[in-house]
Amino acid sequence: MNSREKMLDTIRRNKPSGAVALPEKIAFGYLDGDLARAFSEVLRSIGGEVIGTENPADIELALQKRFGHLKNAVSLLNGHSSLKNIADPHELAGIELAVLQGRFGVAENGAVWLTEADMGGHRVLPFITQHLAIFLKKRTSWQYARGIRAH
Amino acid sequence: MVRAPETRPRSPGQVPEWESLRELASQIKEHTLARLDSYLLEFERKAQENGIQVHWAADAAGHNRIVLDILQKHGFRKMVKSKSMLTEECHLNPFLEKNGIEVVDTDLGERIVQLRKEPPSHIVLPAIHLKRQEVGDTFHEHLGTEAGASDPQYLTEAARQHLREKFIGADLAMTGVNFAVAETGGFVVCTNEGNADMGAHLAGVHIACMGFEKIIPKTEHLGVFLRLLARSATGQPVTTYSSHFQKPRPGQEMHVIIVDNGRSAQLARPGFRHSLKCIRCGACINTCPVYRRSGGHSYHNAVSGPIGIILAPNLDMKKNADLPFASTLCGSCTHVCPVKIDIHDQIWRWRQVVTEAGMPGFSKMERQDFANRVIEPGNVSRCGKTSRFMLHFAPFLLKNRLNPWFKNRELPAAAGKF
Repeated sequence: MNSREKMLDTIRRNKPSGAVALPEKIAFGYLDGDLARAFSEVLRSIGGEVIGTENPADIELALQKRFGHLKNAVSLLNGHSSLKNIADPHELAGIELAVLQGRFGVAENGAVWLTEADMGGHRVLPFITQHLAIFLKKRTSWQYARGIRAH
Repeated sequence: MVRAPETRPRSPGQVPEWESLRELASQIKEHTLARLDSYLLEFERKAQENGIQVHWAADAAGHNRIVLDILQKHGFRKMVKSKSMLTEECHLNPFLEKNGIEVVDTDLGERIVQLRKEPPSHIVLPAIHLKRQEVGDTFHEHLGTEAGASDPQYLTEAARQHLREKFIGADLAMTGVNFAVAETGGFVVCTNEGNADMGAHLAGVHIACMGFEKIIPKTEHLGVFLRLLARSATGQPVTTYSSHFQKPRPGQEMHVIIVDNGRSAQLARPGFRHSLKCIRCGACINTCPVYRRSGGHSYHNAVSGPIGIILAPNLDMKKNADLPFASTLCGSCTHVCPVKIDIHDQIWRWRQVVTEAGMPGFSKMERQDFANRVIEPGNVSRCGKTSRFMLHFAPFLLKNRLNPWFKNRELPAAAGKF
């Protein structure tokens, strides 16, 4: 008997006999009030920077102002990517700023959900970059949320 | 004294449904224990469909062998590893190093203790026993930072540059698993540093190892556990990164090793099987008054603190017979455990088991004799007077290298009255 069979056999013999039902409902009430503000507060409290703006045009300006001095920046907003034909993730080691679009934010803990597609298919991108800027839409207005790496 | 965060008081205030989450988490884990085999098989099938190679290791030696085989098959020499208490338990690093592999632990705390050739003293905060000056000394010796430096920002930046080189140069990356989801064959790795991700997304081969109790039935259950984990560990609302792995990237190999190493034996023990609900958060360790005074290294086990006490005797009862007695049975651990393990009850039960097995080696008469001496008022008074006198007038008699308690600890100041 190989390890797999041995382990499964032992588990079957040793597991508890009574059955505990899985909880049926895993849902709670939602947070009330200004979710964007709650999100921003939590994110700031753990060291992120949040910039909110009503006007999408202001964002380009804000990015220039804050990060204009950085040489190697990539943006993956609106389906455009300045990153094509990267076969080897090591090639991304020199990136100083990555600007990505988040799917949604979570007010309770300041988290942002990003899929592989949001990274342009480059899984290492949000980690290997020196600075990371993430766009989050707050319903009708743009909210620009930014996390700064510890330096 | 070890200053680990006291995490429990804040959480119920910040998350009103905290107690409901604990109850749900406990139920999900207890349900899973009764159907472990079928969930593990479901996980294996789904993972394989996604292109992940699944291995099974009955013990530590089996686990280590699988890792080495994968490295040798590719001719790899350099690997990076993010935090995995399982690999500590299996003593993976010394085994690989003996076989010519360079293993770099990339969690900052783990890297520090690795450079110092010490084991981690806490499952979440491996270097909590060190002062920043000691870290500065270690980095000066190994990373070339300035002598005497202790500024956390400066030291962290030095570590960051050093580790970045290691990520970029690694052939293979190894990670642990916080939660493995049977429904999807995917798994989640939580870090504050993104070191699991830097390793896995650069290396051509990613190995993730897990104790089999890490399995949970469905994706939606992550919504319970991820809300409990970081708050229990450090008080933060969530880890900086919670990464959901599903399949290897194009051209990459991804492996999962499912490990037993004594867990199935624990599963058989009715009074102790619920210790397998553990999600390795460290809340029990943080709250334990005994841990705070003695530190993680005194448990002589990869996993220390209250959870270590109830896991270790199953692995080696003789070696760990003393651990169930390293407790005041205050029950704080049970109260903070996010999955409601009855930790202090299990500690008490282990005492019965260990004593009946004739350990830790004192006869009933010897124990009675010791107890008589310790509670005899004259003895207590004489010991007290002598130590207070020595602490006050001749502290060097106690505060020296011959006193094992004094190594890495400070002694209290003497009370005013003798």
